[in-house]
Amino acid sequence: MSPQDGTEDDDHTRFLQLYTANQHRVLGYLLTLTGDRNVAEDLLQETAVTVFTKFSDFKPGTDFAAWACQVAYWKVMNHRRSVARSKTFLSDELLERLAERTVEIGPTLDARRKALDACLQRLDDRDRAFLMARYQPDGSVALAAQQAGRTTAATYKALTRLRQALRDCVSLQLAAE
Amino acid sequence: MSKASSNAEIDELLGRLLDRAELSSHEKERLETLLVRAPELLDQFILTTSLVNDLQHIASLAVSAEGDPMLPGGAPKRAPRGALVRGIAVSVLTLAASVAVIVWSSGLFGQRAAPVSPPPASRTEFVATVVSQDNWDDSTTYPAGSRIPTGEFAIEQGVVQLQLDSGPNLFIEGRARLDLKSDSEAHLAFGKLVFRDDSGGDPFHLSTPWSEFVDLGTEYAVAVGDDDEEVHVFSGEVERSDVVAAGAPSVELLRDGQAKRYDKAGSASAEVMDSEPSKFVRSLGEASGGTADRIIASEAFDYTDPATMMENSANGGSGWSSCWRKNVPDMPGHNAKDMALRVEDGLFLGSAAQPPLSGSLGYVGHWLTHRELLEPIDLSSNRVLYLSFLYRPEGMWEDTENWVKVLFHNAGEGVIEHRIAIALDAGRGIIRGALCGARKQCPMPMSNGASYLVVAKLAFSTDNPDQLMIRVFQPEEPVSAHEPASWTVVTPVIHSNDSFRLMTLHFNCTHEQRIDEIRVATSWASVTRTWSSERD
Repeated sequence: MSPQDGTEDDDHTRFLQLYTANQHRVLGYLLTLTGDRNVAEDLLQETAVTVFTKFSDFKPGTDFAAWACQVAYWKVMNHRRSVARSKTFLSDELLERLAERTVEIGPTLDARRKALDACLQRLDDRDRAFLMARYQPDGSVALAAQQAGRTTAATYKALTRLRQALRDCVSLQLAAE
Repeated sequence: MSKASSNAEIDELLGRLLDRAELSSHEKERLETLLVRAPELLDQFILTTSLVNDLQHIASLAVSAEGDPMLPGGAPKRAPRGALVRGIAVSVLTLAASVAVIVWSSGLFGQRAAPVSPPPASRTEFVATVVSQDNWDDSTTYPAGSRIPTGEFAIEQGVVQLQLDSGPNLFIEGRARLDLKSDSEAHLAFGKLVFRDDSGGDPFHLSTPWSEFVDLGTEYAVAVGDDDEEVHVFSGEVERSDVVAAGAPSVELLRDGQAKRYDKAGSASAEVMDSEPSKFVRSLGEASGGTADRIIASEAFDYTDPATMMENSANGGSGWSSCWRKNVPDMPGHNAKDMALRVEDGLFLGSAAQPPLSGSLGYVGHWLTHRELLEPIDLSSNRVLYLSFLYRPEGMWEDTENWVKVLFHNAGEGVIEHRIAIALDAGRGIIRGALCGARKQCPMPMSNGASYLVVAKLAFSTDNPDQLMIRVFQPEEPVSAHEPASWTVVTPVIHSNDSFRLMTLHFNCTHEQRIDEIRVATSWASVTRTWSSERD
C-alpha cells in the first residue's frame, strides 16, 4: 500500500500523519455534501477505508486532502443512490459544483478553522455556553434552549444569528491578517 | 430579490437543514434555485456547513471552567481555549476507528462490488407487537415479537394478543377485523376483542359500527356481530358513546361487572346483561408465541488462556462456524499489549444474578474481532430475533473516541446501508442503533464501572418493513420475562433483504469497554432468562 519505498510501519506512520492532518477537512466536506452529521461521520469511516487501501495510488507531494475528498465524493454518490430520492437535498449537478468548490476553497476553510477560536472568545459567556450546549457531543437544540431559557423558535433564530456573526467575524479576522 | 435577502434566506434554509434536519420538498427546490442563481451563495453554504463542523469539533473538546469534560446539562463557563490543538491527539484515535473498517471491506474478506440500491424507505408506521397467539392462522407471517403496522388487521381463526406501543394489550379472537389507526385508536368492524390496560397510560379509543369506547383504566370486552354488539366490563370503567342513534349523542359510563347489548337503536334499547368473562379469551399461555425458544448463538468468553482471542483460536460458546478472528495484525491504533480476554472476571447484572465464573471481553485501544454465525441473520424472512449482551463502560464523557460496536454484516461489506450496528458510545454518552442505513440514537444514562444489560430486537418481514429496537437495563432494574412496550432506541423502519453471516465486535477506546454473555436467540425470554426477575 505504500506510495513510496519503505517498510509497512513507515507507510502506516505516513498515512497516519496525512490522514490525521486532513480528516477534519474531509469530514467538513462530507457534512457540506450530505447536510447530516451522522451520515457524514459514517461516510468518513468508509472513506478512510478506501483511502487506506488505495494509499499506494496516492502520489507523494500532491494534495492529500483533495485526493481524499475525491474518494469521499464517490462515497456520497453511492450513498445517494442507496437512499430514497426524497432524502437527498441537492441535484447531482449542483452537488458536483458544490464538491468542486469545497475542494477549491479548502485552504481557506483551514484558515477559517484556525481563526474561529479567536472569534469564539469574542462572544459573551452566555452565547458561548449556548453554542457549546448545541454542538457538544450530546448537545441538541432542545438542550441549548433549556439552558438558555429560550423557546425552541427563539433558539433556532439565535443559532442562525450566532453562526452568521461567527462567519462574519472569521472573514474580518482573515481580511485583517 | 436583493443580495442581503438571498443571504438571509440561505441562512434560514441552512438552519432548517442543520438544526432541524428537515427541509420540505419546496424548501429543497428553493435552496437549489438560490444556489444555482448566485455562486457567492454557494460559498456561503460551504462556509456555514464548515463552520458547524468546526463548532462541533471544538465543542466535543470543550471543558468546563473547572477543567472537567462537558457534561449534558452543564455548559462551560468559559470559552474552549486551544481546542483545535488538543484535537490533534484525539484525531489519531478517530483515524484508527476509520481504518478499522478495512477489516470487512478489503484484505481479509476480499473485494465486493458497490452495494445495490435498496428500495426507498417506507412510510409504514408500526403501532403494536405480537405478544402471543393460539391457533392463529397468520402466526407464520407474524411470529411472536413481530411488529404490526397501522391499517387493517384481520384474523380468520384463533386468538392473537397484541401489545400496543402505548402500553395496553388487545386479545383479538377470530373471525375478526380491526383497523389499527394508531397505538391509541382502533375500529373493530366485527369479531371479539378484549382490551386490557395495566399501564395507566393515555385513554384508548375503540370504535365499532354502533359505539365509541374510551377506557378509563379498564379491562373490558366487545363482541361485534351482524346485528348487534355486546360490551362486558371486567374492571375499571368504560365511557361509551352512541355513534348512530338519532338525536343528541348519548354518553354513558359502564362499570366493573356491567354488560350490555346494543343494536342500531343505540342506548335507548340497550339490554342489560350479566358480565360473562368466560365468553372471551383474556389470557394466553406462556409458550403460545408460535416460535420455539431457541438460542441461535452464544458466547460467555469462558476461556482459561488470556491469549486465546488474539491468537484467533477462541471457539467457545455455541452457534458459530468459526473461531473469533481478529483483523489485520498491525492495524494503526491496535494495542498489542492488551490480550482482551479478562479470564475469570465476568460481568454480572446488579445483584439479581450470581456472578458468573467465566471471563469477559474487554479492551483498550483499537481492535476488531469477528465470528461467523452458523445461522445467518436473514432480513428477507418473517422473523424476529433478539441479541443480548452485558456491557460495562469506562471513560464516560472523557474522550470523543471511546466506544464499542456490535455489528452484523458480511465479508467484504461494511457500508452503512448493509449492516446492523449497536453502538455504545461512552465518549459521547450515546447509544445508537443502525439497521441498513436507518439510524436512531439516544442518550445513554450509564456510569463508569457498572454493568448494563443491552437487548436488541431485530424484527424482519417480507411484506412489512424491518425495524431495530434496543432496550438498556440499569444494573438494579428488574428484567421482565416479557418483552417491554417501551424501548430505549427504536430505529426508523426500512426495507432490506440482506442476510448477514458475521458478528463483529469493534472496539475503539481510550478506556476499557467490556462485553460479556452475548446471546442471539428467537425470543425475548431466551436472551433475558438469566437476568429475568420472573425466572423460575
